[in-house]
Amino acid sequence: MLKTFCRWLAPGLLSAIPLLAAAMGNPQPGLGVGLAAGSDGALYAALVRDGHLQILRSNDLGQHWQAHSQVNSQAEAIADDAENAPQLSVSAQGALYVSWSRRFAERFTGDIRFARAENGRDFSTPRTVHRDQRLTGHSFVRQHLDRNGRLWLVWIDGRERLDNPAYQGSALYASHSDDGGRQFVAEYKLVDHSCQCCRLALTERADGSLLLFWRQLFEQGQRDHALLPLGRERPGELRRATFDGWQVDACPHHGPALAEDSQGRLHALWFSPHGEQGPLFYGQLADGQVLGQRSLGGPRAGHGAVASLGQRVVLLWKEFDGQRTQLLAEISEDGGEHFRRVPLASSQGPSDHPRLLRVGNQLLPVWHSTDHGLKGYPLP
Amino acid sequence: MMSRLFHAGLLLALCSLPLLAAPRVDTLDRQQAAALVEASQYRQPTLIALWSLECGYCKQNLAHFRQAQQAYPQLRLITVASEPRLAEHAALLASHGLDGQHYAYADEAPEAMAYALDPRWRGELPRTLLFDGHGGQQALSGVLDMQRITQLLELAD
Repeated sequence: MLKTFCRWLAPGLLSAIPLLAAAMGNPQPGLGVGLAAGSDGALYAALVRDGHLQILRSNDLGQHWQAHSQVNSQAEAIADDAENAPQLSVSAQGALYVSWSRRFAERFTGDIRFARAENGRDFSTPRTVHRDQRLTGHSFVRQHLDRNGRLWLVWIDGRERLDNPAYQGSALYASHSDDGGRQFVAEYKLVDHSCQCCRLALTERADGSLLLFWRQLFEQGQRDHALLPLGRERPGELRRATFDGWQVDACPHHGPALAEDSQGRLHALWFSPHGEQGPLFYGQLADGQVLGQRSLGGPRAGHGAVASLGQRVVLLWKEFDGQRTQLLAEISEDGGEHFRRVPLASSQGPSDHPRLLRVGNQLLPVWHSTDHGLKGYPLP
Repeated sequence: MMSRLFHAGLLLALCSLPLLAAPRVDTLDRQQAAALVEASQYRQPTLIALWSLECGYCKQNLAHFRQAQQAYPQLRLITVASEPRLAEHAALLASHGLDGQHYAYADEAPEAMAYALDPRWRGELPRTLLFDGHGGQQALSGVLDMQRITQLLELAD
């Protein structure tokens, strides 16, 4: 009798749990934001509110934002933390493409979702990008729209572990679309043994090819970084790009950043808390070595972004000073030979990772903090 | 009527026993965090386990800490989830059968909490703070097995 009664009561209890969770704590809404700039200089932002992706628009470099449209009419569990934030691209014709990681109820499981708005406002019903329907992790999606109009999606995928529980780390899978996201090719594996929980960096080179930069599990559990060229036809060869040898069974939850300047130099930022130096590093990636590797900021610097335009290179990061979180930049006008430091803002409360956007002929830091909201910080 | 209500209440209480048995998870702000890691207050070997729901290695550590607790009853365990409090925290701690004090972050910047708990910690998980009970302390990242815990806290002596 008791059992029957419990079965009857159980749905009521289960439905009360989200309410309980809300009443118990005060889980802060995710601050993770997806950003893109249109060819007309307008900024677009994708933010999660109550399971819906909202698109905001700014015409003044992120000083003010207006509600623009909503992506998904049916709420879903959209990852919105800084490391695993929604992705947004704008085409030259003003179409908007959005992708995100959806979380299932079971931890570490989810899928990669995508929606498109050809007119920049009315979104298609979201769909799952990959063919793999098994209950495993598909997460940390990274989206890039290249100059030829190909839309790339790369993500961290847990499927290898389903068949092989001893599998180390996760795999990286990719898909792409050549028709503005109407159809995606069946996903294909790029590499084995990536780190499980660090955002991926994807940058377009002068020749139009893409470079993927991410934290990889090397021999003896060394969590260093690797580069993989993504050609139009097939991926190139993986090569190790950082050599810190940080050896630990831990989740750094702290992915790298990469940009190429007009001379073809690769400017990288990454996190590697080994030794006595600060954990955030800057260096130029070369064949089999890092040139000019140095700590950027102090012992609590992290979550860097890097972008380049011509010979200008901008490094952006946040750093806790014991009281507040500072938003800091270093700017070089000579391809990374010399840098000057520029403080931009600070926040007492939680904040998103700092992000860098190219808007027309400038590089613009954007930061979503509880103190200042979502805001652009034009550089001198 | 009263009796029926009473029975319904009793049944509700019985059915929700697993929920009620879940440990209490308190929130921790930056001042409380700084106080929690004051080494002089610990008169017995103590572990502070920093963990999160998204961290797989953290759950390996929680299992090891449970083992250590069973083998060495003098070991005191404190857990801190490095994220805002969720109902899942208590459920997961209950499923590991961990005795001790449990906390999750209050609505604070995670970097402020990290600094208060351990200025040398850069946010990687799991992170474990070990107090020997005589004022000594150390902090380590990554998975710690039983042998390592025993050795670090000199529990076997």
